Amino acid sequence: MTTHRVLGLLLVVALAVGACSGGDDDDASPTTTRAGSGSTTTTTEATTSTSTTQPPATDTAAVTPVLQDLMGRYDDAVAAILADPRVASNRESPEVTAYLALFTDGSSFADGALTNWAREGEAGRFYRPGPAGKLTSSTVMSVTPDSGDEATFAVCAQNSIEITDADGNVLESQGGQTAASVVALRVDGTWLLRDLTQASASECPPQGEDE
Amino acid sequence: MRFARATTAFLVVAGVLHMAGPARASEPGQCVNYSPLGYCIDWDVPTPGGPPRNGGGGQSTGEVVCYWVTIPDDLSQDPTIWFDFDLTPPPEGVTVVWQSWECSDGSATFAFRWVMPATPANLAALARGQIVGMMPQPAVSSSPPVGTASIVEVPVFVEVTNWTGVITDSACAGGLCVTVTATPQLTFTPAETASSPVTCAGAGTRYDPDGAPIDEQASAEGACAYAYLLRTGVEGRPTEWPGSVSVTWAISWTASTGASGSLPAVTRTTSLPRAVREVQTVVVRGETA
Repeated sequence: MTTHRVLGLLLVVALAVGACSGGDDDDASPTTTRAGSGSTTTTTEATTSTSTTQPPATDTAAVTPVLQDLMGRYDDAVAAILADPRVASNRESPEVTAYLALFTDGSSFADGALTNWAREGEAGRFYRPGPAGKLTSSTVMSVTPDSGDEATFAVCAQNSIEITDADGNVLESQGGQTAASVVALRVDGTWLLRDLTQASASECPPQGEDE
Repeated sequence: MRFARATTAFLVVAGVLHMAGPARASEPGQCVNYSPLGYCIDWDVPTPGGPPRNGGGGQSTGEVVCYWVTIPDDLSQDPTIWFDFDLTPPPEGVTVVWQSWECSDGSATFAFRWVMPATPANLAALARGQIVGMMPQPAVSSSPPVGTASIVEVPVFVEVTNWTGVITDSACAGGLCVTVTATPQLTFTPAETASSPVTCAGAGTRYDPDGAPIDEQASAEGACAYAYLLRTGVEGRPTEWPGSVSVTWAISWTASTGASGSLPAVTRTTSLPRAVREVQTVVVRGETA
């Protein structure tokens, strides 16, 4: 009786795990080829369809370049919005669309950031790259898997920022290194941002040190 | 045997479930304050006393908080600061406040910024920077034309064709506005030995062949004219007198608070070299030849 109850429980658990694990690193049977960008192309023989699944957080070596690419696109999207933050109030603009595409659907976090940038635009503050030529450049330092589909990682950002008024007068200049703690989720096989939180730069290499 | 394998499988599954459950980063609260780069600075955690969210910052979670701190040093004095930290030097004449990026965990930081307080003097310096960009190099028209030799004792007239007149501009911040006014003054410097610069009225003087006699036009008050006395190209003299035409804008400012002041003037100069010939006149029976 006890044995049957245990086996029954195991069956329930196994079914539950099977139902919840789709898209994770434990996909069964398909042949897998790792792409250069760190993404994984999976071909399922049973259906002969092709889908792209990026590596799980538990494979930190494989997922790190994927997250680095994600942060690179984040840097570009933010720089595009900050060039004229007034675009943030237009959710149909290409700059905003590119930014939102990096986040999970309906992200309230991304929505809040856009509202904040729109206020910057209303205040007449515009951002452009400083002498380094790039507003910000993020480097993923370490990835901590929270599960196969969720990762927390530290980012060091090298910044060179000029803040100007509408006439192009430089009102402020920022430079150096700041850091963030980022949470990303793998949704339908693709890594997306959930949120980014300002953090101590203690994990960042000292200024001027080779990375 | 089968039971033992099933138990082992259960333990493995249970372990996987355990890792995927409690270790998962908790859902974020509401971010109430963002940095310019889109990072959350302050999280409004919905369940005070609950477990801190993974990676969440802000005072409410008790985690590391980072902020800009004003420092007493004037880092502008360090010539390496611009290169080392990819910073842009502040505009000329502006007083700035330096800040460093510091975190509550006391970790070493490597970021600096300067910010410009909205003072009348700073806004005036900004507005001055704006109007300086509107001050062109003088485009000169003269009689005789540029490049043509003049004749001893025959006046040369000079005019600036891109005269700006008085320029004004304003800069505002924090409810304070400053208006800067730049008033131009034209000067013609013949640069002939022992000559003095000619202070001209307005944009200068165009010679009117249908007007008053040439000497009368040249001697009118504020006329921008000069009659060379010494021919060039002879021993001890250059082939041209290295003359020039300058426009100097005197700059003043007035703030909406009533404060006022002046700022460094700006001068733009265009060279106007001039060869000077001497015309010999021979009188024959009362007629000139």
